[in-house]
Amino acid sequence: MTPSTQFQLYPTVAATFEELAMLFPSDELTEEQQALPFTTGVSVRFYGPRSGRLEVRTSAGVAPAITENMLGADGAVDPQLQRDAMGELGNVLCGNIVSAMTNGIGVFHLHPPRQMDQTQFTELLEPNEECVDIGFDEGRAQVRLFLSSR
Amino acid sequence: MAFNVLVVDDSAVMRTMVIKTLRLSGVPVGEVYQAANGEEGLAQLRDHWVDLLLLDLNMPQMNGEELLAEIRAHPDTASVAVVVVSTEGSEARIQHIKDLGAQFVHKPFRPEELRAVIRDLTGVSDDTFDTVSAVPHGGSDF
Repeated sequence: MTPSTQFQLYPTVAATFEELAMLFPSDELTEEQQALPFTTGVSVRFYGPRSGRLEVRTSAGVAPAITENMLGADGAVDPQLQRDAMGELGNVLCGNIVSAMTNGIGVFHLHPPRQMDQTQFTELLEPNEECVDIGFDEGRAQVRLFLSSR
Repeated sequence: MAFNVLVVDDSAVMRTMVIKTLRLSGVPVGEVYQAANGEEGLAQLRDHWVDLLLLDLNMPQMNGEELLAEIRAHPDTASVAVVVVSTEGSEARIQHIKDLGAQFVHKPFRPEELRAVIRDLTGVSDDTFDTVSAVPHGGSDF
């Protein structure tokens, strides 16, 4: 069973990017956006009624934009704050997705966000994994949801 | 009156967001203190007079629920107004938080949501908020 049999991943992801990071998705990814490599990522493991892992990957330029928007800052922000902002984005995305998945039934426990770099990114999707790609003026992001077997 | 506020969240970025959103909400803000976990939060509560606590749940060392229970168990802090600001979606856990006398706001949140729960929690009217928050304060560029 894939998560999409119970809920749609994209609307939750898009709404969180809009409301938390004030990044507004484009209608569809352009070829240019699709070609952008991911440079930054964060992973959040969760357990509860369903267990698994959420990954957020972003191309260059997206993490700084997220951080600036969250802080209301203009210009360059400290790399540590960018990691903090990415971690919080992963945390909020994961919390919202697992809630949407189970309609608020059951208690989930989220592990602290773990930073990822390019060497940890795999292209292939695992059998119980689905992903959405989302484009912005600043680049693109990908959110992957992996559910463990029961 | 202006509220002395303590924001407890392990993310520095989220603490900044919470403070900026609070200022935008029109709630009159006095001193603002910050802590990165429950233990630091307790230390801040011992050192400062706090009217309003904005509290994350998932944090290292002492989490938000543990801090809330400690606050309610201690006579000096039992009546502090607490708003839990979290991604939590479990109805059971949210109800437990409310049973401990706290309000809940889901991340991400808007200034008007924060204002509404603080109004409900403190009983301070919108008129009072507007009168006091007409006094200029710095840093609300969010």
